[in-house]
Amino acid sequence: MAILAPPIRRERAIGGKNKGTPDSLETRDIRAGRLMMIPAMVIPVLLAIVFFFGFYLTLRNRRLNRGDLGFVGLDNYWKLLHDDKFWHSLSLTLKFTVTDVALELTLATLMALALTQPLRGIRIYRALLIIPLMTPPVVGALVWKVLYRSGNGGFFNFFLWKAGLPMQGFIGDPDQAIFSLVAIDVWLYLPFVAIILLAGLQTLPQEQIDAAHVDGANGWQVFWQIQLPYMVPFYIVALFFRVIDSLNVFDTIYGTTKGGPGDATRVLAVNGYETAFPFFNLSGGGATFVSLWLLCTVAGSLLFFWVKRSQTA
Amino acid sequence: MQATVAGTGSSATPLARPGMSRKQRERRNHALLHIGLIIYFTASLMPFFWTFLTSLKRSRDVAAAPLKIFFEPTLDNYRAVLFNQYSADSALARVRVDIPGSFMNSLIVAGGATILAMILGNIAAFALARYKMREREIYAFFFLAFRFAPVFVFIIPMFLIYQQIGLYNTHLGLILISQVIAIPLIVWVMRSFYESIPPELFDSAALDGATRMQMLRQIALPLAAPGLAATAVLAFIACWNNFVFPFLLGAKQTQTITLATITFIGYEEVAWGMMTAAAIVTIVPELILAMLVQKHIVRGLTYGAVKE
Amino acid sequence: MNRQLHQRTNRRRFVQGAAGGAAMLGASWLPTRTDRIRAMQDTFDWKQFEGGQVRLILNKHPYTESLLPLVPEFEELTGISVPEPLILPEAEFFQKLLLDLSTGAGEFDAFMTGPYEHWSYDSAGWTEPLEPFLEDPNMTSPEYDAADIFEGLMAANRWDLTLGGGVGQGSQWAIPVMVETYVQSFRKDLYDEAGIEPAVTIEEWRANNAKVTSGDIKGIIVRGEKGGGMTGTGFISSFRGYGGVVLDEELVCQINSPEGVHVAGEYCASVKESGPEGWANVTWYEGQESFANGSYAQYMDCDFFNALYDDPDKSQVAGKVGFAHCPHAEDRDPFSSMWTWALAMSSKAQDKNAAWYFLQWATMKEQMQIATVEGRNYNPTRASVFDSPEVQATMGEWANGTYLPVVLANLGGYASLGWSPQPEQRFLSTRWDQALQEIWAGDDAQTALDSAKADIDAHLEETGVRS
Repeated sequence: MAILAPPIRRERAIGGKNKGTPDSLETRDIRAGRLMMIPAMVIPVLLAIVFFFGFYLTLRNRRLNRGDLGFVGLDNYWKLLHDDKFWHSLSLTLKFTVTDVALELTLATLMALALTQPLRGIRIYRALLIIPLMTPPVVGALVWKVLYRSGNGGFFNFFLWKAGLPMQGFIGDPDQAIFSLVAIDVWLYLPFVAIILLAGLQTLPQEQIDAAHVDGANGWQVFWQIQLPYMVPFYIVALFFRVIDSLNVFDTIYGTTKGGPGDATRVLAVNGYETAFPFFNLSGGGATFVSLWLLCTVAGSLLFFWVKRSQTA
Repeated sequence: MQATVAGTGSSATPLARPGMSRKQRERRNHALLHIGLIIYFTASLMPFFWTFLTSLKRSRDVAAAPLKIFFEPTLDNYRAVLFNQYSADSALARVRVDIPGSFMNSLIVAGGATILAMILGNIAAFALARYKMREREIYAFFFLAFRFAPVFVFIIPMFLIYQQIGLYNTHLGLILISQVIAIPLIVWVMRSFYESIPPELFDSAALDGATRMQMLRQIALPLAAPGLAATAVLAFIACWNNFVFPFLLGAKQTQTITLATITFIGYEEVAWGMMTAAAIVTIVPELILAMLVQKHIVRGLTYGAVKE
Repeated sequence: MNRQLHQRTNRRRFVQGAAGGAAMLGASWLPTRTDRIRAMQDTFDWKQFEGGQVRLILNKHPYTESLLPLVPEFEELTGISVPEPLILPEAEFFQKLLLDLSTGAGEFDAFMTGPYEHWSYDSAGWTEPLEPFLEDPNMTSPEYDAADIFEGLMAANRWDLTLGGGVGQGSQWAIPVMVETYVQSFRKDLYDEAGIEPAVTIEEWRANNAKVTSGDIKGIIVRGEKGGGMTGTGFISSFRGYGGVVLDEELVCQINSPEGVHVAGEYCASVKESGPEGWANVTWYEGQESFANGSYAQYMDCDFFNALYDDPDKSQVAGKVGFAHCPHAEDRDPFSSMWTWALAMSSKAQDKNAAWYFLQWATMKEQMQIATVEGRNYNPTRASVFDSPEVQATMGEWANGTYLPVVLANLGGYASLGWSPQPEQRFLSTRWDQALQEIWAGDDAQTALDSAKADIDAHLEETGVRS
């Protein structure tokens, strides 16, 4: 892997008249650069191949308990389009993502603003911020499942009970379930978004704000007209990660409600998993996952290009 | 001028406002902020608090109703989890979950994966930052695109392949598959660090006859050191927390601590006390690492975010 | 031979007692271990397959836990090596096992299973029939005494691969090591106070639950999580107790029959009135723990959970529990579904003979006795274990003496597998779970069940179960 370029002689190094020719520094640099990319690309490329093989499996009828039953082309996808459950899962996934991301962006903005004030102990707050990110999702799901328990033995319900308020079903209640799950995701990832926005705020040049104050702007105007526009690229980046991860959410949902009550939380990833494994329909479940992948790719690509554009703007 | 941190607005010229003085207003605002932050952090840390409390409870107190906030704590759960010492009172004395062993497995897999990914990823990140390859953004997008892919699409073919080539249930096998999580993260974050190094530094090194690898090692790495630490920790945490890979591509010999922790769910009852103790043991190393590089993690997460 | 074994057992127990209680199992074996191994060798050639290997995947279960310390003895007895088994909680266990079996990877030689699961495995050809081994005197020790295992349980693990029927005949796919039946486990103190008897019919059950709900105590808790056995314990026992069948002879789904609608309606209504507010997320362990901490007056579910209820170190309701059969139609016998954990062999096992030796050894009287008495493996599957003085003493005390009568009545005839055998069991039960959750949330019972039936019928046709 050691790439040893020949020692670069003075004239060539400056670039000068040989620039652009096959032998110029730039071309050799580019060649070297490509070589340097290879080691890191090996495993991901292999994996991409496996991924496409997995995609190919969805073109066949493969059931876990009966093996491979032949090539069916796009039949699995056709069935999905006509399956109410698929559309329900899709709409649920979108609902989850939109709520999740909107909450996170809003709360993270407040948090980032708060953490840029000259408060005492601000360092402690910032240190505590990242802690939820340490939790393995599987363990987190289990812990939250217990926290949400019914009755006054359940953590949240205990405090409700003490306060004389009616106890809730949370993830066991069909109307509250999806929002209870959004709460878990927000708990996990709010720090992540807050940190990104915080960095954005911190790199905003102080002079702009001071100038605004000299012109008589109050805090609110400073936020709307100076800070917010500056932070747009940061928002987009946070959006990118959170949207993709929200669309793909699985561990926290399967670990708590498994898609229930009924199918009130049966997002796409849960739908796909359940079809493939307990129900043995590997190809059908795979098709759901591939659809999810398409959704993510479209959303992700759009956001990626938006990021690029906002950087050049 | 009070403002010492960017983004504050407390340096305004005095506008006539009735009632409080500027200082008083500021103090009131800060008090409100403190209250808000304390509320948030209480909520945010509550699950950990509960987990820790439960790990100190005896079986009888764990599932008590109403919830027991005051109880007689015991270290039995930690003794069991850390040293395989079980007290006689627990009928779950026979429950043997090898936490120390699985801790070692996690360390080997996450550590090995991080080291390998740091090497591979940093070389690629440097190349992406320095060399104007036309297809640069395609590479960048490719790495980022791995986030789109649901793991379940490739995990079963992967299982079969691993069985065939003998990587199933091996540390090496898990280290290799973890590259999928770690490399994109490292490439993506470190690239911006390298991009922020002034190219003149490299040009003058080139004039002195440095090779490209020398430039990476002797110029880029030291300058990006804080980023390296933060990125390594982030990659380590991502691998440490992973569940699916050791679950489906590993077995007993490579059982990691995330897997072992849920093994306290038995058929006749759930050993919450021991499980939460194991969960704490799982989280503590990550916390320590994160605290060590805490200053740099913010920069790490965001430099990557920003410049990308 | 039996008497010798019993004497040896008693002698060992004395040594253990003398050694002072909670000593590690391994240590207490030492004085008599070599004797036992020698004695076993005298009657049967245990070393026939010396040098073989058995790779295991096991569920996290008291039986498993009690077996593990004994494994070195097996290795010494037979010369067969047993690498450390992979042990996982039930959900992950089945996922991992399914991955191995369905891909033909063959990394496990023997595993634990139960009827509803191995219906899928048997029809897919993943399990190895065991009766050739059982019937071969060269392969099975004369001490084994298969007849000592409850015939009903052996029958539950026998199937001739007929869809919709044929359980009890055909190949022996697994050897049962544990059995559970379903009961109403109720708070005798609260019922006495309210002046009520445990319910016979489902209407009485609903009324009881409502009557006993007051203040901080609610009347009933049952499993609510989809795919977590919600319909498979108390509910299906009542459903069958009203004459309902899951699939008829033509394999058409009948969960929306009049009985099905009636029982589902009352059941879900009662849970809504007198049960947990977050019912749809209640797991078996939340139910068990919540009953044991005194929050609910009844948990209708597994009988053996009583080991927890009557344990004063862990439960707030020790000594206050009573057992009764699940609700059923007045003019019918009580019914209880059941589940057996059993050991099975993979059809891809590398060394089937060695695997059989392990299966055989693990289900012999000695091991099963230890599993129950010291490992708290309830309920045992061997009559000799059930009848042993220690077990009778412990279990006789349970649930104020109501445990044994109810459970033995179940095992004696009221209990059988509630489901009809076919490989798409998971889909069926999960879809039924979902319908009940919908009814609980307010949907009309007939509509919800009709819809579930339609989905199930379609699925069975699509997967070729019903043509």
